[in-house]
Amino acid sequence: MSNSAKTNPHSVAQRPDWMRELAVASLEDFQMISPMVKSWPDYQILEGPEVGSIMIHGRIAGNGSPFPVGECRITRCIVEDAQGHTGYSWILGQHTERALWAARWDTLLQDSTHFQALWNQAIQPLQQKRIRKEQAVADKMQRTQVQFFSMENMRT
Amino acid sequence: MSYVAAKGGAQAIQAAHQLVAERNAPNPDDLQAQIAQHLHLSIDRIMAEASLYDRDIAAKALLQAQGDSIEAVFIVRAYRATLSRFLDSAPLNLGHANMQRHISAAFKDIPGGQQLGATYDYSHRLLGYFQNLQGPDESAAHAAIPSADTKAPNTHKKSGVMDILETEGLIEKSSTEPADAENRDITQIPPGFPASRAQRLQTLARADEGFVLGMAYSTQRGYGQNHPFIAELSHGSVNVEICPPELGFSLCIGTIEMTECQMINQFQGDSPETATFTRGYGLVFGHNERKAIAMALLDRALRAQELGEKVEAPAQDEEFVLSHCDNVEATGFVEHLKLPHHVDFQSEISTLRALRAQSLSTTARHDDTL
Repeated sequence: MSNSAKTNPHSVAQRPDWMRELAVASLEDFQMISPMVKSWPDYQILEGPEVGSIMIHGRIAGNGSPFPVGECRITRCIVEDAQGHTGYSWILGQHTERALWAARWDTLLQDSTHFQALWNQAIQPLQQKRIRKEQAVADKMQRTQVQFFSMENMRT
Repeated sequence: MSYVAAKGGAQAIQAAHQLVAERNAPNPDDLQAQIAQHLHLSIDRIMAEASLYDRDIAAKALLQAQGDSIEAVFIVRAYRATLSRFLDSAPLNLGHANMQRHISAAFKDIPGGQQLGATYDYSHRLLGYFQNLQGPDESAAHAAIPSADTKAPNTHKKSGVMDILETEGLIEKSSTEPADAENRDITQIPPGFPASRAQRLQTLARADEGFVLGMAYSTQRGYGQNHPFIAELSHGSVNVEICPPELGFSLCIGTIEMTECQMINQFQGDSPETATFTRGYGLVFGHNERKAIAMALLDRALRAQELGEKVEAPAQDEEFVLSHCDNVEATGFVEHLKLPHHVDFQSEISTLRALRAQSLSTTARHDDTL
């Protein structure tokens, strides 16, 4: 990240949050939020979007030493915009178009002039959408909560 | 082994069956997407055995292999070899997973409650069973038998049945020693023997389900007994976190589905005070309970030497299990017999002919001398 770039110090703390929402946003999501950006800065691709893998690790017995479980396919992209912000993206699966969008959004959100508006208008709705989706699954699954009774005396 | 007959849970079971039926709903999309959706358990198995988590690739491979799952695993493994490894994930935190299914066979009441999720464990194994299910009864949807524990939403909160036992000192503590160099990835450093537990678990996580199942079954039938109880069996979405060196902070980049089995096994110790239950552990990509349970049984059996037990049964012999559990390796050696072995065979047949000829001439000479 170059020093000339206008970076909002508060936004850095939120960077993992926006990168997460961008990593799971669909192409339709990007098509929906991208018109909110009045003028896209010029950018150049530093790397990718390229497809590779990451090794997923678990822990022995769930809480012990780590061990590798298997790999996961992933797409990554690195871009730099005209103001010197470097944007990164790592996305599960092969999604080159989404990876490029996510990296470009990552540069944009580092810029203090746009940060707050884009955070409110684009990232927060994505976050809410994801949480709603997760909640819907959780609600559905919760209908299968059960308490079995032992047969001997129907005690709980 | 015995179990107490249990009653109740009809509504939960109905809801669980409904979840299975929903996954069977027709979808007009293309074939590959349909395979990924309708045959999702088959896809999960391919992802686990190929050791590459990617539904699209697994569905494409299954289609290309015309449904032959071992062939599909082979194709995905070959594809995997073309990918460059960008980085390693942080160890998955299953304690913060969105659990869809979470049950315990050891305890009736577990923190967060028993949640069946999508399962056909309680269904009749009848053709068309899920097509003839009644729709969800909305009035019953909220009438799940209440209990103090089940009221709290279950998201991001997985009970620690093992943690409770660990706090009470009733189960062995897991070592949190960082894995040494020998414990690293078997795809980068070929494992030797004796293998570390980490190497065994990585090998089992990608091992053939049928092989792991058969070996696990053998432990239950007396070939290396370990008296197992499922403390927790869970399936759900787990966050994938990475810490890229370029950024220097960690971030979540999405979720993957995992199945985990925590098994409690027979206790061990020199005195009643120090005797504790022992652990077996299974962790598999996707939704695959059979594999996770079998893996946990086999993990425990393979710890025989570490726990001072006699290695007597095949399931306790790590060289036997780890060398034969990979289906790509196994199918390669078994099926290579189809390839031309004409020269090999010619040499064998000419040896046999020569021996016969020699034997005949010796007999003839023998006759002459008489």
